[in-house]
Amino acid sequence: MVGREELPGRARERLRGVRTMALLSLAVLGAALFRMQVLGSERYHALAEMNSMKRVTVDAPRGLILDREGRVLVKNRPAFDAVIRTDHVVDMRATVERAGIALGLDGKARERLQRRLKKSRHAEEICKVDLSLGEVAYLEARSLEWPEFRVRQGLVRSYPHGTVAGHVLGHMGEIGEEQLRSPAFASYTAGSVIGRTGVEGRYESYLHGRDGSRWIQVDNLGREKRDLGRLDPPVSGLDVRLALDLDVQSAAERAFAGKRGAAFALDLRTGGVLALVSSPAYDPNAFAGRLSGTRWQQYRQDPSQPMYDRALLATLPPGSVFKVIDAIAGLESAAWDPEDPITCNGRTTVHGDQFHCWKPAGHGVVTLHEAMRGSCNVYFYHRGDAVGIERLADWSRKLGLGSPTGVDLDNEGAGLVPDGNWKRREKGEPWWPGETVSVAIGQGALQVSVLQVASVMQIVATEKAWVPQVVTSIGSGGFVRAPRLSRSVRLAPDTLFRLRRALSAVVNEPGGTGGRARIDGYSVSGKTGTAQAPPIGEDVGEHAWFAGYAPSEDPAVVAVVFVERGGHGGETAAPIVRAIFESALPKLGIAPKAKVEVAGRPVAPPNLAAAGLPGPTHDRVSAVARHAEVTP
Amino acid sequence: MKTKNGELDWGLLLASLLLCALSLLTLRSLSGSGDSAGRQLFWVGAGLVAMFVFAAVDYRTLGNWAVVIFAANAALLGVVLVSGHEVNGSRSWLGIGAIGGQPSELMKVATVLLLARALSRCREASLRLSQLATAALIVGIPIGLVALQPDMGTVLTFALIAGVMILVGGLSRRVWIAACVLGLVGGIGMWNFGLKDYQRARIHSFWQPDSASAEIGYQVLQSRIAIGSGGLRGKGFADGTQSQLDFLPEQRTDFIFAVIAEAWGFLGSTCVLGLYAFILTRGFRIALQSRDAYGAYVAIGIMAALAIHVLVNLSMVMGLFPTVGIPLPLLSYGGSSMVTMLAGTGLVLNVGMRRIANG
Repeated sequence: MVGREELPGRARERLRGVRTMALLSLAVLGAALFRMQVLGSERYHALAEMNSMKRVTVDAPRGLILDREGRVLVKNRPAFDAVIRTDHVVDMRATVERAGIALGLDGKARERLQRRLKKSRHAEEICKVDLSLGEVAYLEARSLEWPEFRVRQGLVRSYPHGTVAGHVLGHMGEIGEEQLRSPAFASYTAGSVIGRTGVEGRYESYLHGRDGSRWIQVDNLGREKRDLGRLDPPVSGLDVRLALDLDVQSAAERAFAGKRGAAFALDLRTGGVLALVSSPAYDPNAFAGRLSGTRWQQYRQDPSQPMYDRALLATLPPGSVFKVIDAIAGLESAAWDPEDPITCNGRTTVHGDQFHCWKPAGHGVVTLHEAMRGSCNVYFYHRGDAVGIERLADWSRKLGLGSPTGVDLDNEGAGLVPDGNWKRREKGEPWWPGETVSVAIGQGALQVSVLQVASVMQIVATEKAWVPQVVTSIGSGGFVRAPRLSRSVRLAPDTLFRLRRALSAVVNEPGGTGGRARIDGYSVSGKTGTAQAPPIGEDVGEHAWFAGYAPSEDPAVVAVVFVERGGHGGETAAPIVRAIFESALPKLGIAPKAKVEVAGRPVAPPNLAAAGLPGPTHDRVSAVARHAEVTP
Repeated sequence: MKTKNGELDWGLLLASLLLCALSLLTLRSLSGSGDSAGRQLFWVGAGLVAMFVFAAVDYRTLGNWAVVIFAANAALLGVVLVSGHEVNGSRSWLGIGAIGGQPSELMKVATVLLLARALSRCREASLRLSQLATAALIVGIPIGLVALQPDMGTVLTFALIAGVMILVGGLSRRVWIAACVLGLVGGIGMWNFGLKDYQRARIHSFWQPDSASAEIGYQVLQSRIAIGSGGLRGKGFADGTQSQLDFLPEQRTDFIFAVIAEAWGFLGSTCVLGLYAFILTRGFRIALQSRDAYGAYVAIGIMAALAIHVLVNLSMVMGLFPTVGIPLPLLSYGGSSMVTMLAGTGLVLNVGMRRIANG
């Protein structure tokens, strides 16, 4: 039973004591609250502010790059990036050390990271892109201890065909400080990845799309707590379609087989770039994701310079390919009679100096036709000299040398067409007559690119030259870029007739230097070139050229190739052009013919009907030539 | 309600109901909480029924049944150990259908009822050793059972409730010295062998809450930010960013005070402190005015439980004490705690109503 006794007096005292203690404790808590809420509220308020919402950019998926048949050349691949949030770095050394451990950065990479962090003015610095799953797991597991690291989901550019068309497609890279300041990149932020070269660079504004943003809730450590839903969805970039044909491009690259050089194939009906090769190629994937760094270093150190875009930037002496311009300039200005023969003994004297033909035994008695076919230097020394440097230079420029063709890629080389003015301007000396002799066989100061030589060949084939187009349409809605003529040059029928006949003979007649460009079922015309170049260290030898078009009777494709230090054009460059034609002509719907009249031996006289020309009589030639109408 | 022996303490009742109302209001203000306010309303209702029962039945009758009540609760605690649910690392929940409860909460009332019986026999200035041993044995049963769950916060409250009641009962000097030695040895032993790693981490992190080196320190930091950023007047009802944006951990249960402090500021949080102080003052007055020692000890036990919960919880929420899972009486979301505290309040009102001896 419960007792009925009262609480003893001492216990009552102690009870009062307990009550006082309890109330005093509450008062102490009240004082603590006063300290936190009234005295320290500003500090906590600031901390609460950091606990809030934050806008993060959502990268827009970049547009695809497709070839002429719609095959995907460049796409996007999901990936994870590690970023360092600079405002959460407490001890920079420790952070760099952590990055080294978690992401396997070597000493150099760590130093670079530290330098970047030190001068960083951005909220986030990319530490490593395209992490492996192991690296993602490692960082995620340490998100509490290492609050400065964040794993970000993103898209990485992917080039499924590797090195194929690497230079044309171009590569990506982080936006530069200067670009960030320019109004054209106003919508970009530091750390944005943009196309730097090739189509990626030139068509950046179309491919990029518009980045979106998303609101996330972050705590005072900046950790993402919750996705509050999308606010502004990103707009995907536009797909870009190229004139380039994956098969033609691949065939051309295969034909190089490790040789250095460049190749260009153009669709004569549209001006589209069917193939644009710079060999050796590089793999743009190296700049997109996980392979960055090491692969890039390899490319930089490779003596064959795979990063150098030979198709756009390399300008070299054209060698004997220039004889086409000698012939046009001579015939159009009626400087000499093409039927007048010259005897080649393997060497000759012009302006008191002795010059050699490439063939020591000589070509014997040659007219324009044989001289072109056998690429006789002696003939063109004299004929070029007779035309004179000013007219040669004029015609060179009219046909497309000496200035960029305007292809829709950045950093195209302009080349050089020397003349008297240039010599006085650059060297302060007058033009020496002997120099004209060198220029006549495509040497001297002359410098041309594959694109420019293609312009010359286009005019020979069709009397007009296109501005080469890499991109033909943008977006699925079909914003189609209209073909654009670069120049149209009306040549006298006689000039065209003789030139076309001679270029066909180069490939098809005995004694022609370009026999290796011949293909069964198609008629090919072209000109070989073998350009001397000064040795650079152990890099010696001549540059091999071939420029041609096919089919001869109704030209559809122009192809130009040079092989650095490739030796004779007929031996190394012609087979590459042949590979391009073999691949390109069936693709363009041109069926091979069972019997090609201009081809084969023994000698068949040039078929005028096949060349698409009336058979002019010899008498007409000079008269027409004098009134040749030229529209540059 | 007027009884033949005395008057109901309306002030105590009103203060308790005000806290319940504040609990419902606060839960209502938290977005995305499911229907915690609705469920809490149900528990307040259940608690009021329990309060009525514990107020209406003479506490002396309850005291006569104390052994049975205690034994039944101890049995429930045993069941929990065998088949309870594990929540937050300890096995303290018992589920019957949709209703879940923590028997350890109700056990607090049962223990107070039984302890009061053991202590009220004392006629001297201090407790005899045998009485002390009985008290220790009584409180040892729930402590042992709860420690097995393990729920160190509740172990602590049982020990403190018993401690306060024994303190009022009185200890001789020898016992004081012995208790100090035992406490020291026990504390060291507990730290080294009795605590789990996460518990040690909590105590460690308590010393540097702002460094946020661990998740627990992070919780306390978020709580401090919520309270501190509330300022003098608070951010307004349902406008607290810390709580609305879900930064506060356990904001409906153990950390509900931080939500209130953020919304109502220093003015609001001192009002809450004032309500507790008022309840304690009234409760202790009832103990002092009780017609018998038993009623006094019951009121002391219940008030001790309330004070301990309030002091430990608030210290924890303010980062002045390591994180232990102790709810804030009458405010925290949770059925067992609410029903137990209201039942306890009923007991205290009971003692108060029957304070005038009638022979």
